[in-house]
Amino acid sequence: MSGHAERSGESDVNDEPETSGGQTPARAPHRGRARRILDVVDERLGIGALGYAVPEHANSLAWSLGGVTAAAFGILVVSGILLVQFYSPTPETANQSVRGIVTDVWGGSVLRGVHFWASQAMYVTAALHLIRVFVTGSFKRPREGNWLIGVALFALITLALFTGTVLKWDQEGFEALGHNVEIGDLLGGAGFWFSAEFANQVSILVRLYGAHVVILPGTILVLVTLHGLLVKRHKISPHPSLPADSSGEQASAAEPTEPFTHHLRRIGAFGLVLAGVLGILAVFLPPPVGATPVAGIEVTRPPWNFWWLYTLEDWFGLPAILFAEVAFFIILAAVPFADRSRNRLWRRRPVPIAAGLVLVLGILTLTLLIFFIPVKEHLGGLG
Amino acid sequence: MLPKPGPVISGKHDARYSGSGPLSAGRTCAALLLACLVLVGGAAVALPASADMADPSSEGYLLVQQALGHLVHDPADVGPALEKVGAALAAPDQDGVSVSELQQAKDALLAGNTAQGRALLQESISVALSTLKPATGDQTGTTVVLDPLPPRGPLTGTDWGFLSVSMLAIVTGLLLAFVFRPHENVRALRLLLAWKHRRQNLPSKHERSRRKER
Repeated sequence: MSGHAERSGESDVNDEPETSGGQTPARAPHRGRARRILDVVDERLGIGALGYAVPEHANSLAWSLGGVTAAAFGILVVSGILLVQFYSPTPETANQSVRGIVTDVWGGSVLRGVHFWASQAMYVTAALHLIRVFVTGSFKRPREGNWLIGVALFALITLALFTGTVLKWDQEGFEALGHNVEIGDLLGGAGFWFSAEFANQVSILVRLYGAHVVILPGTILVLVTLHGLLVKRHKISPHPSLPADSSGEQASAAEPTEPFTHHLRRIGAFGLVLAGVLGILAVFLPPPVGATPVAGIEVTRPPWNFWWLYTLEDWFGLPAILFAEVAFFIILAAVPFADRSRNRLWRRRPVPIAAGLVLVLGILTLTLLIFFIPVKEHLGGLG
Repeated sequence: MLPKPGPVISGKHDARYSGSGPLSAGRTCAALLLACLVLVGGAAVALPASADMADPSSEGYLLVQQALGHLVHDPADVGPALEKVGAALAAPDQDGVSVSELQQAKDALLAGNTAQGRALLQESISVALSTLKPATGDQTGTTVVLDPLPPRGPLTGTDWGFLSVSMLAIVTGLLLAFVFRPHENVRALRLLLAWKHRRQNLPSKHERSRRKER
């Protein structure tokens, strides 16, 4: 138990821990040079605010999935910045430039592989993070707003995946774009941005490129920052199987805490493991580059993330993609308003948990059904 | 000969931008519901328009490109490609398409010579492709239908270097994750909190001695 006193308890729950800048050298005569430099930086940039206390249960892997998602995003940004140096976003050259990255740029194949697999990792860890938050009831009062931000982030991640698929400008990417355009048309006025006619003087590829490298990551960054700030404001939600405080909204004051910086360094460790795994995947399983695109044929399947929608499209036609996506995100957004009980333990929330299970199993089933569906043409204008 | 537009995904696109009014602030549920209705309503309005979007291309060079696309994606099955070649031969718009080469390509495909058929198909539309303007909108900009990039070959020295760095990252990360692991897992925390709770509910030392005195 001696460690608990050492690890900050309730006493340093405040945002500015004692170790942050402000202590005079007289009060801390034996500080190392590194600590003094940190204090100088902290005094000017306020990084000590990151040392706020988080309950001990938040340091498990399950409760760090949001951080791992952020780590994947960081890898995506870095690898993406490198990739744009070699990518040409015009229809005539896009596919060829991707081939050039893979074959002519030193380490380009691995770089592209890391970017691709990091996007998959971000999608998966974000989904797992959503599931963890749902199962542990962490979205409940007063964190409903942050849940909605998380759902919006998941939608943006899906969009980023989609636009990334199009950018390689092969047959698969072009067919994905075909769906994008037709769904834009289906939406009528609301889908104007997805329509090719919105800015017909430039290629829609250039616009999607802008979305992929600026609009989407920028918005993700803003929302992630807001997400993190709200986590700090509302504090980490209590673990459902541990006693909470009297309000039921915060972890018990008796639970040991650690500074958020310790939480960050553990996330950093997970991020390092993730980067290593992505590197291995990038070497052994580089993402393919398909044939240059041809309009008017539909001969490929979408990436696995969209298979469940492909099955629905096969059954009900292209509008099913739109309706299913909209319904999916409305269901996610409605979660905190539908499950309003104070219970966080999954056993005491049978109806929401059963509904969530049905949703996940439904999506998994639709995903697997793609193996039994032949590739066929869905786009309206195919001749 | 007029410059041809590049291939497009579908023949025409509905360009009605009705726009949706901003949602007034209100309860989130109501806003979500309203957003849903707007989207569903918008789609319902647009559905009849999408139904008549099917506009099979009559441009010969585009049909030839489609034939090439089929050959690239499934070289073993020349059926769909032959269908497209037949359509191209019968197309009313054959501007920039060499019909004789197209016919030769068809014969080569029928004879089972896919490679020669592909080369002839590509050659047959070289004039049409040379007149293409830079692609705009949802045009492909494709001039030559290339095969997919072959999968990776044997591991190179660079690959081994990346693998070593990756392995090092994994080992270091795992080590750090172990070093920085939580001091207590949830089970231990449960026991600790129960113990603290019991201790908190115990009477004070003074009260205990008073009880003893009694």
